[in-house]
Amino acid sequence: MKKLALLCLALAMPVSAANVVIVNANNASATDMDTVKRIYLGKLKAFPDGSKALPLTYDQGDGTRETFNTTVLGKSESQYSAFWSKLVFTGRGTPPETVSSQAEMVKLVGTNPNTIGFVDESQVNDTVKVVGTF
Amino acid sequence: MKKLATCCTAAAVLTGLPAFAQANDDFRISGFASLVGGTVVDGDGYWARLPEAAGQYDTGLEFQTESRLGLQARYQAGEKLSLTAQAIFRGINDFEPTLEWLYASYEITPSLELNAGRMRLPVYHFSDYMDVGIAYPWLRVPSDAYSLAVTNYHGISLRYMLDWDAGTTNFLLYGGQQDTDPNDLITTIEQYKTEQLYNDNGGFRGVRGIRTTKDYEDMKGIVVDTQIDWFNLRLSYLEGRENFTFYAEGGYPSTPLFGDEWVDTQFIDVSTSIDYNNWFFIAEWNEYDNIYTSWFTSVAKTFGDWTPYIFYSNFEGEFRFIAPGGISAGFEDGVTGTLDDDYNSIGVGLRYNINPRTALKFEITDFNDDGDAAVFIDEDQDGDTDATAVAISLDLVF
Repeated sequence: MKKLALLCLALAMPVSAANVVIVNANNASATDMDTVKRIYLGKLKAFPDGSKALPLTYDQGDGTRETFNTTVLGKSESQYSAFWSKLVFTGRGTPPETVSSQAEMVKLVGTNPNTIGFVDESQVNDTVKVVGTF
Repeated sequence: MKKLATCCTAAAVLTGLPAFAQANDDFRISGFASLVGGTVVDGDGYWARLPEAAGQYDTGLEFQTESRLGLQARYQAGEKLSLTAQAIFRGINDFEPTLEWLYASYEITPSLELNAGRMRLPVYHFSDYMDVGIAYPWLRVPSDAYSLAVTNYHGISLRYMLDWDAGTTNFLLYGGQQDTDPNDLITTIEQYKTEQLYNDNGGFRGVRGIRTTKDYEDMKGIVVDTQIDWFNLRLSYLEGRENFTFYAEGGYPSTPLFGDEWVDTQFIDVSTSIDYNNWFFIAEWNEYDNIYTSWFTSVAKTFGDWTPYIFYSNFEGEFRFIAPGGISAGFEDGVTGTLDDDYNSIGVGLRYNINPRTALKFEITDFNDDGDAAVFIDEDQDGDTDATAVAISLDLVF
């Protein structure tokens, strides 16, 4: 019984796989999750301080991308693709650039103050700053 | 895309400079295609009339009329300057390519953009991307409500994106001109309205080779498009001058039968849509001053990869020349007579997402012709061209 209770407790504990949205450590803009959503949907092309925003995502099929698209953007992969098709084929925008790994994401965001990305919490280092969790 | 990212990473590592300086010299090619096949299950023929008179179905299984391939290139010439070109190969034009967009874009600020060149006339909610099937649930944008005979224009536009706390509003101001010779849509409309030819047994054998042209000048328009979370309201107003000319068979270009005068014109379009919790609702209404009023409404619901939909669309023209009973019954008083062009459609369909970039669609469309004039092939010459058609499409982007 004790064992079962322990097991239940273990299962009930939060899984420590939080994903975070990151910007460059030198990016002083007050960026909240609503701003993040608008940047990733091309509705905002700059951070709140006016500097250009370059959103980055992962290649199609990536799990973190899927979680980000559904929870932050509220779009399935099909809806995301349809949404960007409208903007791309009217020349009104280009979808976020893709990178192929979390390490690459951290490296790019840590190097370029205009970029914004998202990674697993464990990837965060002092070159980047967390602006939100999903 | 991957290569670009790798290249950026390498550059960033090597120089420590902002990685996307390289990405700004980007040259991108992308494209879309729709393979559409359809047939008529009841009536003499069905015509959807979408860009350049496409969507003509009479006998057999027709796979050419609405099929299309679009190729787009976008060149980022500098941090603020880009060039966009898009060619479409349409089945209705025997897949001869036409350049639909060719324009330069200059970003004055991140929210203010100046465009100049050949662009899509943005009168309708779906004007800009009505060729990109993947971007909407229907097999085609309900066509009774999309009948403007000019699709593109040459000119300039200024877009301002206002981001306020609760939502975003896009303001678009534009101006320009466009000549259409022939005007494919009006020419085809007129051919089926008054110029059908029949053989000795009364069977339809074709249409007379008339030609119509329409020039549009001094076009000035505004679009105010507001998105608040799941709610959208779009208002569009266009005014300008137009010159319509009709040439009987053999009359082009020296002897116009009628027309050839400039008149002032206005076009208003209003649409509202809701995209909430897998439900999609839209209603769009427009009025072409002294020519017609049209509208449509639709509901779609997404269940995973499946999206069933239903729509109703309606067109009511102003002209009253043709007598009840069609062209075989002759003409009537153009002021007190009954409407020539009065029709509606009910469509039911289903979209299935094969993958995020590919969709398969099926639609059955019931077209009801209540006006005096024939809309398409009219074997019994009574002006009544009711039809039921089915179509399938494969839409993709790459």
